[in-house]
Amino acid sequence: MGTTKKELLKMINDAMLLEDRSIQIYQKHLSAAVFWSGLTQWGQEQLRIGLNVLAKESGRHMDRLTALRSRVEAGGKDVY
Amino acid sequence: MPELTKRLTEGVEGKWKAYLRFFIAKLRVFSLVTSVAICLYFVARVIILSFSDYTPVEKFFGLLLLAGETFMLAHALGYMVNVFNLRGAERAAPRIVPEKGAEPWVAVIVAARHEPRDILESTLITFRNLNYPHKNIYLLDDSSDRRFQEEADELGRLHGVTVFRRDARHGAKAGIVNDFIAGMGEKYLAVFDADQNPMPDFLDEIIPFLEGDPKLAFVQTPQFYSNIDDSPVAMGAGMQQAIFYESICEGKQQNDAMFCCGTNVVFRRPALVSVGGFDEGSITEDFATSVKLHSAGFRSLYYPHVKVFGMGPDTLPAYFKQQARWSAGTVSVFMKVLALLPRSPGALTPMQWVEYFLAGTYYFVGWAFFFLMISPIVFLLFGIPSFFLRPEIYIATFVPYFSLSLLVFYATMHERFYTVKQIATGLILGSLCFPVLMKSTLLGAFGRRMEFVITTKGGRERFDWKGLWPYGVMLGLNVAAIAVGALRFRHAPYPVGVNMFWAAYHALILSNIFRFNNPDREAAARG
Repeated sequence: MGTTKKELLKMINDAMLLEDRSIQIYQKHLSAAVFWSGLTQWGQEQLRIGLNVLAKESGRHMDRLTALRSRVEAGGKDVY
Repeated sequence: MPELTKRLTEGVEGKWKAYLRFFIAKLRVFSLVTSVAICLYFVARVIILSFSDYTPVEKFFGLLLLAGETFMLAHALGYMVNVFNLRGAERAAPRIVPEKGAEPWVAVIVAARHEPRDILESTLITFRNLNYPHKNIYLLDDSSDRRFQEEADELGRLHGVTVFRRDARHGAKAGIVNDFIAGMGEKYLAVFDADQNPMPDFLDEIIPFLEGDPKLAFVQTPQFYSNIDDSPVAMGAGMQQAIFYESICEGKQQNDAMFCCGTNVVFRRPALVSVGGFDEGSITEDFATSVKLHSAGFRSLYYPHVKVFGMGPDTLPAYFKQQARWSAGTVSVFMKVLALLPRSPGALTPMQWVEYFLAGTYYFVGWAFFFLMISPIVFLLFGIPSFFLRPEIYIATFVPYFSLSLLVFYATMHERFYTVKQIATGLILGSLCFPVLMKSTLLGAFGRRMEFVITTKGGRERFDWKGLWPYGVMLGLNVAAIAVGALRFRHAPYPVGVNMFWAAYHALILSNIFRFNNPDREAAARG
């Protein structure tokens, strides 16, 4: 049993919404988590650098989902 | 220790840091020594007050001061016991990790009444992101306003969340949760406030503890604030939470006396049902329900890892409202706990009684602070002594107790690399709550709640300056006491000097009210 194009697009949109909002929510909390970590200033700075890298990686997720949505929208298939 | 770990966990080198490290390494011994110093000071104070030859008025103020000090000493002793226990052998709680595909079902709930849509949606998104496979998400909407009801329905549709409502309103949050529990089919219940966001592995970490111990009624996790940079109030409130969850709760866990804090907690449904659900007669239903569960023979667990982040109060009115609610509710439950003691002394273990006594009386700190504050004022302005220790006894008993208590407290905070400024912000904000706590504890004892008059500036709440009159009065009295003390200093340098020091200390604390009540976010953050 396959998934219709409409259903797939809905799932992709939902995933994009979740991804977009989740990054904002966790980024805010994780910057506070660094403060509460019980690490030295040096340790906190290292963590911040690591978290920034992760945030950028999460952006690539969104790029992939956007590309997938475009491909599905442009594609001729109706069942996946 | 690997080099990276060493760099991450060690502070800047220095001679005094080496002393501090030695102190931290021997914290168990020092907490014991401090406990002895606390007891010695208390005995000295009681003996001298009992046998000193003073007038009834002087003895009256002497008793007020002793009452304030006794409160501080009892809670300092409780803190030392916690520090001592925490440095002892750790007891590992049993865990059973459920097999993949056979995980018990969990109802993840947020109870909301007229909550901002953005905040609620963020929480629902973090629920959806929980890795745990067998979860059902519910929004318990208790809004009476049609607009908020529509928003809740829309969020439910958007995120595939079930919206639960009740027909008849009773018992605020406890009431709607009880109505929900009555019909729920899941084994466990994860409860969150509207502004608390769990991390994705929250349930994966917690459920194995509940599966591992059938007598475990709930697992409580800490509540840490993310908006600490918003204002000094947010920072101060965050620091208070850190002190509570990092030192006090871990100590309570050692005595099987951790109580539920209302959010970031997972309950075993049958345990809740067996005690009649949440206590709807209290505004701190979490604390009241914990007493019921413990006295029914259930256990609780404090899981000391931050798995949930949330938003704390960032304005003085928001903070005072939170403290007033918590204090009134806690005191009203404390009255019930006191009544339970003579009826069924075996309902709780001796250490659970002690822990509930400490938790239930904590908010009387407002009265204690007030009693400590008026003592130097009445001495300097009216010549009425209330502290009857001779200098040599003062130095031999008060100085060791006070300096050791401060050192132990600072050491426990320093272990987590909090700065003196951050710790002070939390302590000063807590002290400034004294008029609110005095009123709310009184009202709480009679089952009533406190009202506030609040204005807004730039979209943020603040108190009108007239509303801060208790601080103006106390600040004025302390300044007047210092001025009179300066004139009298050469006649009696020792007693006048000591009282001037305390009046200046209290004036300094009181003057911070203007900084905390500043609604200008940028100016406040700079301050």
